[in-house]
Amino acid sequence: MTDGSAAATSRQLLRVDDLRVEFDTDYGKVCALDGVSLAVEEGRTLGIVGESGCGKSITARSIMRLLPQNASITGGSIHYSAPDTAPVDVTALKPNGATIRQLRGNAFAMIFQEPMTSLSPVYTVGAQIMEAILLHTDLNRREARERAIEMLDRVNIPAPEKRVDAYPHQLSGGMRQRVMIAMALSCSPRLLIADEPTTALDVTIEAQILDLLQQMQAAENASLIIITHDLGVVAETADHVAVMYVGRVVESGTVQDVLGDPQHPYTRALLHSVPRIGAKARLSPVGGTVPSLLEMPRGCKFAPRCSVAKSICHSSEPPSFALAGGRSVKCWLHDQGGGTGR
Amino acid sequence: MLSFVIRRLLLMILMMIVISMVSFVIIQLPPGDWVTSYAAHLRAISSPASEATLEALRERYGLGEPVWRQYLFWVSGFPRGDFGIAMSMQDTPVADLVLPRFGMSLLLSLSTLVVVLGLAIPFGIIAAVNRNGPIDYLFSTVAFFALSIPSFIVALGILFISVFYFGAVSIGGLYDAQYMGEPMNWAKFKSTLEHMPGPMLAIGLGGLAGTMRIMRGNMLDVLSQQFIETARAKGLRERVVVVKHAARLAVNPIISRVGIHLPEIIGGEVIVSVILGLPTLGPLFLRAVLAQDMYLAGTIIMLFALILLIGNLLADLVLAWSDPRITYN
Repeated sequence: MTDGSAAATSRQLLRVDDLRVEFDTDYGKVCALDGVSLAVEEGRTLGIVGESGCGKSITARSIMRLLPQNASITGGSIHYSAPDTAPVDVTALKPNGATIRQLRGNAFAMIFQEPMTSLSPVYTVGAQIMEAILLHTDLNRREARERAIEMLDRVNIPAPEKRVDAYPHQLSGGMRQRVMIAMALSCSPRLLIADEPTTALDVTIEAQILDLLQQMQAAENASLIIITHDLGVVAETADHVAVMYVGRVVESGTVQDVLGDPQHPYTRALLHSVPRIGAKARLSPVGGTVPSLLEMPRGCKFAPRCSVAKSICHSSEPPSFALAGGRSVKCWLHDQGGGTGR
Repeated sequence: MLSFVIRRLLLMILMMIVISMVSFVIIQLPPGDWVTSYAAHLRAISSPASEATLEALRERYGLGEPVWRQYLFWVSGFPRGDFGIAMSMQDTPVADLVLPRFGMSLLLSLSTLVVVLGLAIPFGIIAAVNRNGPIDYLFSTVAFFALSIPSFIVALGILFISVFYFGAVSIGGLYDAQYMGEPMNWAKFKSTLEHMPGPMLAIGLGGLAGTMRIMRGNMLDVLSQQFIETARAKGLRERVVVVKHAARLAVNPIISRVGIHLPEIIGGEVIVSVILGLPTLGPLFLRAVLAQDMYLAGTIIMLFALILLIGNLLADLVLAWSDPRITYN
């Protein structure tokens, strides 16, 4: 199974092992995550990439325990261990109990995809930032307001002492995402999860927001999980990457390894579908479509779209094979080697 | 904001003028006038009046004049607080008849509105939070019946139950019989409050059910929005997420609906008051229309219209205060 310890230079903050999440739907139980394993190191960035519907957001929400009501964690564990507190298995907590609420917004913070709708329209941005500060710290209202202004200043919002009393609809999308970042970081979280933080923004704003995220992460020495479908964002921001496909991590490792020398046919296909400046060859999209969660192929879930599939690929699902440098690949092509690498 | 309110108030005066014209004309539309209906009444009690007497009555009240002159005669008294006389009520000034009943109507309608909102909003929230659970289904089923039963049936049901199960001696009325004809005082007011729940139930039941359904729908809408997840991600208690973040926004469409809801309550009040014999504007209005007593009926219509316009303006102002995205200029 996944073995991230080989490359570990700093300690692991969060470790997801063999996570399984099921949804109760009208068509019966549907498995949205099947054996997802990840690790996030302290102060480092993990990128999770994949097509829409591959389970990236479900993974993030499992860590926050913000899954929809019809979803449940049916297997695996999520171990969180900060240096100064006892380790916690997040999956064992009550969904809305005091322990997870104490972690949310405090040790774990999350930024969402849609800055236009992530803030309540009826409260000022200051009030919304202060809410978390008042909840998780001993500061009084006046001090919390000062902290909110300071956070707005740190995310480069001009005239923060005025903007603190602005309503979200008076700010642009980029500004709102900055407010979300300020809110998420207001209680100095150990882990920041950004779920497609720039998908809804202009390209120019995207670069600013990514810079800001990295800056703030470095200043707070927080770990960051950045969820995206954009390999460029991963290349720019992440140290490690996990490539997901229909609820499974198909390949993981350092960004240099995975993007520089992809081993899983799906990762290769994804990389070939990204346009490159100066490249003459036509873009090749990943053939076929993502299988429905209700009609999964029996073997490797990618086999029907895979150009190098063998017969075993169609009959049984590959385990994750560990490669050198802490990498892992969920593909039968790496069977003969069995973890020794190439 | 101030200029908006001033503009709306000016517009309201204009509206009231138009409403006074239209309502006066509409009351005059049916064939005949008060004298015709009075003559019919006299015939019915077998003491028909002579043609000369009727003609004298017409002369006296100016009923033979063209409608526009009658209208001008009526409105010219408004600045002095003179709303004409009620021909069907022994020439009592309309203002004297209407004022005490107007107070009762207002008390009843506003209390009903407050209770309806006070119950419908929390019920809607509870139903939405327990979506598709037993509580939600129970609320929905009850609301379905409540919406389907017309208010007059509820009123009759209340009469039936109070007489046959609680042995009520006097049925109807909005205070104990001993206070009849007394001016308003503390004891009478207390007695009025004690009598209000029945009429309020009859008037408000349908609106309560409807508003609850709307609140439930709004809540489900809002609860699926992203900022609710943001609130949960902060570590807030679910109760705080539901009340402070979801309900705070879901209530806005209800506020704007109060403007629409008001006529329902006033209309319901008329029907229910007639059945329960309440001393409100409703029964007086019905009598005035049947007797073609145009000054009385016209004045009451104008009062209803005024409540409506003021209610709508207040709803708009409360909405602007409640939702910072709304600005008037």
